[in-house]
Amino acid sequence: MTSQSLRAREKAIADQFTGGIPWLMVFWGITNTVIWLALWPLVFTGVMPLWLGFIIASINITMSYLPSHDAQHYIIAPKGSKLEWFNELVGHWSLIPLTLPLRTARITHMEHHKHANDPLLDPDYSTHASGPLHALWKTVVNRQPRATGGFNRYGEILQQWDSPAATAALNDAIISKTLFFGILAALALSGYAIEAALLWWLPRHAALTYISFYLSWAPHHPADGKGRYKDTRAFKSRMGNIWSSGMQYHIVHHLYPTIPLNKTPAAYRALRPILGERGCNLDNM
Amino acid sequence: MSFVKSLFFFGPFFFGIAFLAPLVAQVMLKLELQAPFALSPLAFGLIIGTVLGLVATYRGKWI
Repeated sequence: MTSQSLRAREKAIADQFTGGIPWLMVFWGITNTVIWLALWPLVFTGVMPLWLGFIIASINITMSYLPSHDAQHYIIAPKGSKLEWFNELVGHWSLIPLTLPLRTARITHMEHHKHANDPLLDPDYSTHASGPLHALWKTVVNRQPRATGGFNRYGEILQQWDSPAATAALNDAIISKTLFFGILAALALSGYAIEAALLWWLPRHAALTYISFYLSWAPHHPADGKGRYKDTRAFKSRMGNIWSSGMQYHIVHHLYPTIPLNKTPAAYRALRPILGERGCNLDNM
Repeated sequence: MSFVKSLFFFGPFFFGIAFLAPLVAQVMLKLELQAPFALSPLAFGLIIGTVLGLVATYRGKWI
């Protein structure tokens, strides 16, 4: 079979999994942030113990990225459609606990798709690591004040691009970061430092560690291949697919970014023979 | 943009005095810990927060 006909077959299969509103992602994105916001009055009024709030907040903030990820790709509603506002609403709303603006996430993520594993052009390349422990250490290193990777790398890239979209994304990031630390400081100076630390600051660090590890490092490891069939892999996670946020099948997302997250396992199973023929790294999945 | 860069450069220092200091003080009160040298929890928190913040600002990293 020629490469072209293989590609046509691949696309025909992928098309079966695209289209429609992924209501699971919409529900997830909206309720997750609602639950996180509800933790504050529940803990402040003593209805919920702080230790329980900390656990729930850590789960909430960890889960806040993926619904927005579907919105970044306009999966919830296509760009230019009547429901584009709904797509943007879910995208903005779901990211509130993570304090990562949608426009910043989107513009850098699209660049990641274009240049995955390119040391100079992939904004997420700083998560590249030799193994799991090194990957965890890199998440810590990338969050230091003058780190060259992580969100600092996003800021550097956005300044280099110097386009209206990049400027808007950079401004969003500056406002978001200032608001985050401003609110933390205001809470702390009002006598709620422990609550701020355990409902937002520490859970956000835990979430960024998980997100960097499972959503960025693991699906691209060893990050030495470039191109459509080489820059992402399928992998068997020790945590299973759900607890690794569906990333076992991330290769499907890089091939067809408009397939919703919850449909990537089925799409992977349908596409697997073709991916095998393409020589993709499928880790015996 | 240079103002913002300067502000963020000193971010760890601001974080140290505006968040870490009250956090240390409130944790001490919660755990009923005594600060050394008869310092108040807030004074002790300010010393810890300021020192950590200044060191992180100078080094560009917390750890």
